Amino acid sequence: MRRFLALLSVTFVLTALVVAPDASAQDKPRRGGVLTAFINTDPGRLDFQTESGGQLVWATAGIFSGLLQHDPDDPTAIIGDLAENWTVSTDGKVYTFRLRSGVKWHDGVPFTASDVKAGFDRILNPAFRSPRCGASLKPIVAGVDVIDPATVRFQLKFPATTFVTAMSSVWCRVPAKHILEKYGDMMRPEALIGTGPFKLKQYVRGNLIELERNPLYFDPALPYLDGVKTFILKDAAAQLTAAKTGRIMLSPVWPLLTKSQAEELKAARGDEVEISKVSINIIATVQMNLSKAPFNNPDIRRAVNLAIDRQELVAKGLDGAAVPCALLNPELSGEVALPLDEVRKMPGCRQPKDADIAEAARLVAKHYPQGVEFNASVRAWGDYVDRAQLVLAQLRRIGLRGKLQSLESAVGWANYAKGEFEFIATQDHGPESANPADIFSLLFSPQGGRNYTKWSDARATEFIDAGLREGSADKRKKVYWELQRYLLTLESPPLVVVGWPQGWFFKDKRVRNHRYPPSFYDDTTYTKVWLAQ
Amino acid sequence: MRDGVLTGPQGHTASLRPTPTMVPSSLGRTARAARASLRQPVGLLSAVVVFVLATLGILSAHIAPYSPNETIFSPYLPPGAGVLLGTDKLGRDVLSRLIWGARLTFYVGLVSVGVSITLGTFWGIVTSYFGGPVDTLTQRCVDMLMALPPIVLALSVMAAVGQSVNNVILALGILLTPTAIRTVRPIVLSIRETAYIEAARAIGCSRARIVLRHIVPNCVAIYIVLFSINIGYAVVVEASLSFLGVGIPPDEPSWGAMLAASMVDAARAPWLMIFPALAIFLAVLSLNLLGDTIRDIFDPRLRRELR
Repeated sequence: MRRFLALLSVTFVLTALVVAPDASAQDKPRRGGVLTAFINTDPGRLDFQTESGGQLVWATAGIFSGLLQHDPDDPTAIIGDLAENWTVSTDGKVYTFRLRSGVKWHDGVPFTASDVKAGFDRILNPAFRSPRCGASLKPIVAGVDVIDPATVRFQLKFPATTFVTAMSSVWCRVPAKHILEKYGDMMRPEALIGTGPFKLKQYVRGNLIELERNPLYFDPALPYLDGVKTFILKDAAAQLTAAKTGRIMLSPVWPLLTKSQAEELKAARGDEVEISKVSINIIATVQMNLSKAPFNNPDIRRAVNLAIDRQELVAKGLDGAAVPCALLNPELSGEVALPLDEVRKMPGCRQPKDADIAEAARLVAKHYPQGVEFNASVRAWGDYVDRAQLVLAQLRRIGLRGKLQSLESAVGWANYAKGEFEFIATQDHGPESANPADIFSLLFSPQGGRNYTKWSDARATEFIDAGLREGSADKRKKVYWELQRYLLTLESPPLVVVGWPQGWFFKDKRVRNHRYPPSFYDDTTYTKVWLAQ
Repeated sequence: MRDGVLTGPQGHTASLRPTPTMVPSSLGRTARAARASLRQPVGLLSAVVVFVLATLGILSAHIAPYSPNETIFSPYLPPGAGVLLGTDKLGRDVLSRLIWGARLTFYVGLVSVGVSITLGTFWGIVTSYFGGPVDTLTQRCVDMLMALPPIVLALSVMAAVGQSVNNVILALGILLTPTAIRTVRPIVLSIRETAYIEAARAIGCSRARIVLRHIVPNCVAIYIVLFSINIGYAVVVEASLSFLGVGIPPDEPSWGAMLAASMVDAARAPWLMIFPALAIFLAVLSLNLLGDTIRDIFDPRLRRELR
């Protein structure tokens, strides 16, 4: 009997060793599986060179490759993607990229330097509206030349510190010349032909964007995943339910979970998910149309700036998780960001707000003794509608009575781009990269993709330009501090900075090697992501 | 339609049989209605609930403790002293929003049903009586509109015209008008062939006079029934559109929108879901029961039973 028990024990131990998952095997990349994620609105318009909404690149980034990219293994580093290597001239004004050989588009057509030139010529055309890559590169790039089919050269106007980061952005991916010639743009799903690790399998409007592995990808070992399914889940309750039931494995970078949602998810799935609090490079704003009444009146813009209670917006609209008032978030931009102690003393941000609100009410009453009505727009996206209602409630206290119109996301983008709005009650913006220059170029430069009413101020433009050109870190910091002080104390600003939202990400523990990069947009190519068993 | 009994959009039934007894003196009808109501306690109770909700809505500016959009409280305060039904995510008083929501709900319900049922009934009477290509065209249009699922039709209208209170009324109007046209048609066709209409024609009454003096009064009962049973339906559709985010603009307090907003916070603040749901439930149930009671009162067969 004793021998039998001993034998049984040995059998159990051996069986356990054979059956138990090999921990080391779990840490090795594994091929196969489909990752599921979600976006909370249908991108609708699919041309990444003309659009600026994050949902487009979160769902389709893996289709395209850029010349450069954030290293999937270490997103803080920038490495070649379609460019095998690159050199910079001694004056810092010429970048020459040597392209990979043997790269093919998803339809089998070979990739060449003329594709690069066609794509960048398109966005550098002054008449072409390119709110992301175009807005970053137009001020600094003079032209693109093809040296030979495998070499392309970018001539800069001046040695810009932001060029490499801009080129690594997901918004500066390379489109196919033959596709642009065939369709004229990339708005239709069949025009989404790239050289990226995945290709488009299906796009069911309002429902699903599905990618599958690109068998022609230049690195035959990648991607590890068979595909990526991005569900379009508009409703926050549906998103949370999908996360709680394991239907989706990953949050997109936006919207973040609130604290209570994160706790609910953790309670539902326990150790099956990793949840982490993060600051991402996204800034929440309220924007006014400078050419439409009543916001064409500088006093009214000043009143709005004074009346909006950023701290209340953060507490109620953002569940308390945000850095209010700041133009740059110290957590993301470090010392380049103006110290928060100073920011908190700025007009509109300072507490208590009684004096600012009284002054705002006086300014409104000066021009509109009975108050004034206006139309406010908001994209029906994430928690925007809630935040917009809060903004309007604050403005009602000073006699500005807004009627809120919630717009379907793509319609909202189109209206904003055409300047067809009076007041955008809330809109978040993610700069292309973590480089502080990007946020100012995006919102305050006349060419800026989110400077919807083309606000232009000579002094601000001078600071922005100086920041781009300045090579010394110390001097750049000084330039940006002055720029932040200048913009935060404008008498009648074009927009009100609410703050930098924070929140919670979740990730299913099966998802491996997924890293959030410093940029808001660059984490969704899933090139080296794999799924554990 | 079976044996002259019409089934409405929610399965309500109404007698379509025209009879001169359906046009009694107004005093007699009122007295009978009051008597019949007392014999139907459910109907009476529903009327009381509808009256209370409507009064709350009408007097919302005076009754509601706070403005519906005032964000003066802390978010997610549970029901208690000071905020009887708690506060929402933005720190707004839920009770005040419910009271203001009642105003909007009844306004949208009454106006949309009033306009669409009146228009539909009158249009149905005229086209059915005169017949001809306009009648045929009307009926084919009604066929097309009724072939579409109601909520899909309403969603399509809202997607086309955009969010606003008036557009919700328009969408409901497009939804309800065909019902009225289709409902009065068999009544008019059958009245048209009755002896007293023949007699009116024989003595030289004009067609307009026949319609106004003889057809329209005979359709009053079905008009009232249609009106009463469709208000509850309109409330549900309005709440559904707002729930789906295409109805009432977000800054207007609407029960449907409140319910939709509560879904995210269902675990954290269940009162945000319970109270608007309860309001919609109470309003729709009461309006439907009241509609049934009114139908019973105006249905000659059921009225006899009630006696």
